[in-house]
Amino acid sequence: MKRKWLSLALGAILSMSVSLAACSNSAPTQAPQAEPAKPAEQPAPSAAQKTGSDTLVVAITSDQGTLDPAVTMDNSAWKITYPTYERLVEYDGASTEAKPGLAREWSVSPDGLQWTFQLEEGHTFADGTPVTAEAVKFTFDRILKIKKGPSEVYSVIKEVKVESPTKVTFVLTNNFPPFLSTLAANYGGIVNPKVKEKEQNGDLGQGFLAGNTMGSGPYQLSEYKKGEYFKLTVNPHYKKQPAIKTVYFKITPDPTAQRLQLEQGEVDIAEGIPVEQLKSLKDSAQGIELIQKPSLFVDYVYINTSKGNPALQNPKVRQALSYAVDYEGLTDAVQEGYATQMRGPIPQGLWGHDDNAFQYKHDVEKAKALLAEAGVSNLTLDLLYSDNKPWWETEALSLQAFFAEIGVKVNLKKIAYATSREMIDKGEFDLCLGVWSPDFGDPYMFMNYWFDSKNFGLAGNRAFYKNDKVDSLIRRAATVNDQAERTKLYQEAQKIVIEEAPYIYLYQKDFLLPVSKNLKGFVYNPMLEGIYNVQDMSK
Amino acid sequence: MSTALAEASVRRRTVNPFWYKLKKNPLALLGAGILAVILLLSLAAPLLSSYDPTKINIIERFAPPSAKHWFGTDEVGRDIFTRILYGARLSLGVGAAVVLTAGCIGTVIGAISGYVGGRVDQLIMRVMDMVLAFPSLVLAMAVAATLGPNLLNAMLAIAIVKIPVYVRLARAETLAVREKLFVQAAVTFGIPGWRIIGTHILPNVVSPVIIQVSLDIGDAVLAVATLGFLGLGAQPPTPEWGAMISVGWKYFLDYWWYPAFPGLFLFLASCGFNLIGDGVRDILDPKAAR
Amino acid sequence: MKQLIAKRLSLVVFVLFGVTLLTFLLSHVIPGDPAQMMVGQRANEETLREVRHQLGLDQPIWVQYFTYLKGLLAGDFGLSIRTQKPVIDDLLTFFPATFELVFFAFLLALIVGIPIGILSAVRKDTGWDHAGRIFSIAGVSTPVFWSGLVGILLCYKILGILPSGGRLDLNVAAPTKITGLYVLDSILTGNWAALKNSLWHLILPTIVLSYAQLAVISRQVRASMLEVLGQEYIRTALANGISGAVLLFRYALRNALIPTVTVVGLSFGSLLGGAVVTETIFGWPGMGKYVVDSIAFLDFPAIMGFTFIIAVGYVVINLLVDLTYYLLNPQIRQ
Repeated sequence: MKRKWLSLALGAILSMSVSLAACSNSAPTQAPQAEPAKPAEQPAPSAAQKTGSDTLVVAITSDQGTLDPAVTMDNSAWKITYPTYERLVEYDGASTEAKPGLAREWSVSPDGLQWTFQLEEGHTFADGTPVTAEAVKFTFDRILKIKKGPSEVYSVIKEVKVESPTKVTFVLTNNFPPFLSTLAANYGGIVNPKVKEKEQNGDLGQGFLAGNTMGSGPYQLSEYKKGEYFKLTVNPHYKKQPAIKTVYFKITPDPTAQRLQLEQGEVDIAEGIPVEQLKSLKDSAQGIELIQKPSLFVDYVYINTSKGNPALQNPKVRQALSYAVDYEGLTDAVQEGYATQMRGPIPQGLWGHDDNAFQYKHDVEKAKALLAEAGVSNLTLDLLYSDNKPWWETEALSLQAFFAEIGVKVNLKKIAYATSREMIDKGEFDLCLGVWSPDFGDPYMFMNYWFDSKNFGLAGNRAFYKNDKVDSLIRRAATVNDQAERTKLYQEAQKIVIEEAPYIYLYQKDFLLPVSKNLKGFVYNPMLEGIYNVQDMSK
Repeated sequence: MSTALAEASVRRRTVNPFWYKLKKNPLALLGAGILAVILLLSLAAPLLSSYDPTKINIIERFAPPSAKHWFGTDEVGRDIFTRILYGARLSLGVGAAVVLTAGCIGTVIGAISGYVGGRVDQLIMRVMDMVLAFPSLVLAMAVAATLGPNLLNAMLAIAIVKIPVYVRLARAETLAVREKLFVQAAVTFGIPGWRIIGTHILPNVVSPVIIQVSLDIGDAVLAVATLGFLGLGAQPPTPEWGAMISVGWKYFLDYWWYPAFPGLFLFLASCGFNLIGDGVRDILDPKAAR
Repeated sequence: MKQLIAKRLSLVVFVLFGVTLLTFLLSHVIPGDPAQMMVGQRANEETLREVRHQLGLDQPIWVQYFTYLKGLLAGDFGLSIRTQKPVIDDLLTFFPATFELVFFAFLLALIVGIPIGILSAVRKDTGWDHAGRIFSIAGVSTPVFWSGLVGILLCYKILGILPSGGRLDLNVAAPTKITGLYVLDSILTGNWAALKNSLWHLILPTIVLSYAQLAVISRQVRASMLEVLGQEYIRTALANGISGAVLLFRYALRNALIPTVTVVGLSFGSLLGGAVVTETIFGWPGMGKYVVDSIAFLDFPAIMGFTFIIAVGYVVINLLVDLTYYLLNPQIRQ
């Protein structure tokens, strides 16, 4: 009888498997993209799982959403797509200024409304199709038609005109100086117009590009095993063949597992190791190097200046909070000292930053005095944060302690990331932790997003801060072409927003990456946070 | 339910030589011993430790275990030993509360369902099937995301998931008891249904429920910790074991004491409850007696 | 028998309908907006409105539900918001991985748990009993994340005998997809390298996951065995000179297995719960990790699809349990 039961169970399992197989036959899941010479490059399995010298393995923490450059707004998906596409202009090396890419040269009309690009010949998509002006037009028309995240950035485009197969002109609705930098971002990646053949139900190829790439970059996505890895192989038509032939982005959610794999040489780069472990990792393990560079990634606190606790409408209270923070202690506790206190909203390393701007210092007496001046006592505030950044918990606890010293009681509210976004958008908080990193190298990314009263909520002005003077200064700065004048305007606006303190400007995080020592050629570009210049690397 | 429990204990004293049997069950005694020690430690926490469980001290972060900090300190310099002691009240109390709530609600529903029968019974049982078929994690995460991730909501989610087990148990027993002569007699005398359920049915289903409860508490303590581990439990800076482990395990390789000690206590407490549960089952379950 | 199945199946439909409704409502009352998750760190109202419109989120909730149900009846689980791919594709990729892990974990738990339960029952209140129970209770009391991490540390870092995670090494090609279960597929296609490698990767997660379930099984077997052994017919049989071993395996065990089957069915859910954590620690590309990510992103179609699959699995297993009962126990047949 026992046997009967077992056979019953086995039968059930088998029938389930069979039905699954039937389902999977009717709906093919694998990317049908051609994969050149797959068996040849398979090294013999060995006990020691070290990677070969033409293979790079990057441990990433989670699977990615869509890979379509016209849809994704997620930095962590960009690390996979960026090396598979080329853009009209590129960030070269560590520089945050746009350099020639697909475009050999470009010009802009004096009124800033016409940008004309001359394409360099000889760039080819992975399937052999040459990159033409038509492809450029197709790419941007597609973004605007799809109307997802990236279309917002390019909403300034009125029309893309093909002048000749190698010449293309963008007509803008208004002068927008940062336009050039936006073209170097991931969403500026030129897509092979042949994606039209992959269209399903009028999705403009979104379904296909979600799990495939069709660009002219040095690599192409040749295999995507959901939940396991992304495998990039070289684009055979790319002019300068890179030394690294195969790149794996291996999904390893657990930080401890990542660290062990890095120590054993199974991966070359591990992204998910918390900052607390990096120091000891560097000290203890041979063969691992810690790359440390200043970044443009900032961590700050939104103070709700209009919809939160009424006391926060008073700039003195906000200043008091800014004085209450022990910035050095905070960066030590939260980032192991791998961070620099911000000096105003524009981070160091980006033009427009003011070395002489005022910087708040830890001064409990002053903070108390300011609170007294404002006539505020027994203040209780809610501090909102989500599980999105692992260090936020420590940060929230530290801030709670700092504010307690000046007599402000803080209740911590930790909520799910998706919920926190909704609450930020609606302004349902007193204080909230946040991070910001620029998509393109222009102070516009900070000043106009953070302070323009048109951008209340998620759009960027998360302090719900309104100051007419600031509005007019930054709006002017966004329409002038002269960088010197823009710098002046932005710096004038900065003075006000530092003084009025709608945010607590905490710190600029260092970029930290543990990599295997035999990996050479990695260059960090602050505009390309988390993106690797794989084509320049070697082992 | 309190009356039912009281009656059950009366029954135990008169019918079952409970304590005598317990003494003969060394593993249950071991479990009780472990829990008693943890309980005593947690009650005496203010005497045993001069630290504040939530006060941070950044200078002393990640101090290894020493005479000053027996179990070391965490990422913001709080004494781990102190946090474990205070956390014990929470983790154990919550585990017990969840199971008792689910047990009471489930038993009553099950008894009603079994006694009334018919369509009501069908409906209740299908709803319970639904809850059982529902992945508990999704339920917990949904509750936490809807009502906000805090301890109470985590408890609610676990309780909901546990209810159907008790409903099934109580219903099965009720079906058996309903056919007994004394119940049939009560029906003939015209005693109202709710009184029959209260006075005749519930006391008779209590025994298997108690067995299930004692087995479930350990599981619930772990479940609370797991939700805490996924960031859906107690809010910081509350010292809750699961949350401590969830934060601490990231530091496992460098500061082993941080996840290790809360993990050890969680392990011991869960063991304790399970050992007692096994013991209670051996003692109370008349069918298993030899 | 046919009647029972027909009745059961009609109930299945009812339960599944209820589950989809419940998930739908639950996932839609979660505060948060998937459109906001999609458009990145910044979002202006106009883009948000457009994305919401494209996702159909601007329609009344009941319209959304009926649209979903209609698709479901046609076997269409909708498009994942996060991955922009059909949910069914994602589920078909992730389900076999989870199934493989859970299946082997269950198998191991049965192989180890049943003997422990029998031993404990036959040698009740001896050192054997105590040792067996402490062993299995230690398993159920150890948080899965603990045993997982310690396992990796020991077997991967210190001993270097087992891999740290994943289903296959990067340089081992997956077997041709038939069922998606690597072990089965590689046997069917005769791909011994993949078979060896996938079994090698299965060892540690399987042990970790099954150890947590061990006590459920051994405890149930022990209790049922005790009950059966205490019954009249066993004593009679003993008195009639039937040998102990025959009795144990031919009569006692068979009867003791009936309630065990129930417990196995009921603990399916908790095993999946453990699987989520196991999958995270071992980088196992299964549904657990997928659903956690989906919930974080408020990817409604993916959450719904996952719940539906789990509910179907649960219902099917319980149907099998009921049928087993029916077959094993003639008394119910009336």
